Amino acid sequence: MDIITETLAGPFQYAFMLRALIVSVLVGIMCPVLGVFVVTRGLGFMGDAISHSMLPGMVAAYLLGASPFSGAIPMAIVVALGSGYLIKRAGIGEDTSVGIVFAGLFALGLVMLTASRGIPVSLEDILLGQVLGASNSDLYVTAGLALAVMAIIFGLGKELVYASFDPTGCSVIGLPTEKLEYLLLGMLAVVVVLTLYAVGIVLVISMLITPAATALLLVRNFGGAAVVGAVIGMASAIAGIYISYYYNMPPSPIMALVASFIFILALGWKQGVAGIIQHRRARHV
Amino acid sequence: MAHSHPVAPLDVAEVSVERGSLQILDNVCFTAAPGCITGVVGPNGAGKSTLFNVITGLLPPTSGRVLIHGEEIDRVRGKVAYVVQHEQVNWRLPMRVWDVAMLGRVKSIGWLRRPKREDREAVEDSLEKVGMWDRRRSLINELSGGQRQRVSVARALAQEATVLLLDEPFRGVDVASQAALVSVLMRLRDEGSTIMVSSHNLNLVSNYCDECLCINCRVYAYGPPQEVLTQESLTVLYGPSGAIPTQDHDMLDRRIGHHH
Repeated sequence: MDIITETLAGPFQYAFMLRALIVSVLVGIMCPVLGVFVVTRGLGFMGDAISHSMLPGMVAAYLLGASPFSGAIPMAIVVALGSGYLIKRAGIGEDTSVGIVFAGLFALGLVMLTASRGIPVSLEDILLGQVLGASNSDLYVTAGLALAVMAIIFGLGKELVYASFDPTGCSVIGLPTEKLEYLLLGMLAVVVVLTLYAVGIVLVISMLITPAATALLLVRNFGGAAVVGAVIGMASAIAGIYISYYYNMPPSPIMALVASFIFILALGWKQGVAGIIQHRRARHV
Repeated sequence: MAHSHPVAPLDVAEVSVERGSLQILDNVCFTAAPGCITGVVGPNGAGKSTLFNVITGLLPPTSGRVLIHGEEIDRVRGKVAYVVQHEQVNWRLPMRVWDVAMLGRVKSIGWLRRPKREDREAVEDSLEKVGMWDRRRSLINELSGGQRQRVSVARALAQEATVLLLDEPFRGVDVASQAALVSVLMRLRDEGSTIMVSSHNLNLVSNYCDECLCINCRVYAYGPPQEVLTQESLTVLYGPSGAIPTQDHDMLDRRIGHHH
């Protein structure tokens, strides 16, 4: 018993590990709640693009000695709404317009990062995330914005679903469909930045998509999938922190691996159950 | 006949829509009565969808006006429901038939609120009317095209709309499902709804519509289908090479496609 308690409590004799756990769990819960919209709307590529294109904003904030969020979040929102506008108005294909914006801004960010000296962030931090280095203020920003996003989705869920399902019908009954769309993109921007700070640019997509996609395999409704996805995301985050502590590895790839592993288990279970049901039906006929 | 009602559910007066130098609708006028199904026919690009967008308030006309029960659309939003072409709807969302019908209540439930008993009753009634109550727990991506249209009609009913517009609801729908949808629409008509249906299927339009609006930028004819859908008027509407279109939409498109 003592060994178990010791093992479980072990990482948290260090305050930074406790902060890392809280930030990871917040990200793990928040991502799938928005993620069910991202997965069912096919916004994953957009999320990936936002995560890359906010880099200049983040580097600029470091250069000015400000919190990275203060540069990255406005930049991500501008990119998200700007791409949304381009797709809607300019008639440029989604993957094309997003691809142009994302590659250009990521390249700019890389140039800024390598050209600037003396900023407290490396390319490795950007790629792998900085959850182990999260300060108290990082934790507060993450907690505040994560709660805000989840409150908005809980409060405006039915309107967001209507706008996602049938934008024309949604406008006809007098709901501000376009504003709801931009709200969704704005939330995507915020969630992407928070997630990327924790797990790094490349793995944002795994937190945003994998737990939500796993949940959608198991539960076919928005509310249920959001809850199940949040549980999976939280479990991945906690597992990532423990494994990273005991095996001395960066936590974000572990979180992504655990999330992918749960997805494979869910897929296998689903296929297996579907197979058994089919087999039984076939036998009964 | 339609003009004898003091306040028509739908009154379209001198509506024109221009986009740049392109005239899409030219001085369109008609009045639809309560308890009436109006078929809207015309070649591709004739402005049928544009007309629906104007009626539903999505697109302000360049000139002219639309009155719903004698009021501007902005004052009676909930009275009008629009069932768009099915590819404009995201049927892959993880929703059940019940959830889609409940969308019709979103506006009356209000921001930040949850459905109440009256909302659930309205959804139950509307699903029963379209014959989808038994499928209420089915996922929408498992439904056939015709069932999806009926669920969309249920959503309009849950909304308590009195004017219902359907944009090509029969396209890609098999004959049995077409019949089921037609019987739902006829029942709603008998209960007093004003229904407009755009379609390329002239057989269906002539069989169940009370009125037929022939449109190609301007109104070519408006009246009972047996009077309006003649070989002569169709030749004028669809162009000289446009014989009576068949149910085969590809063939129809090929025949009339170059007459936009």
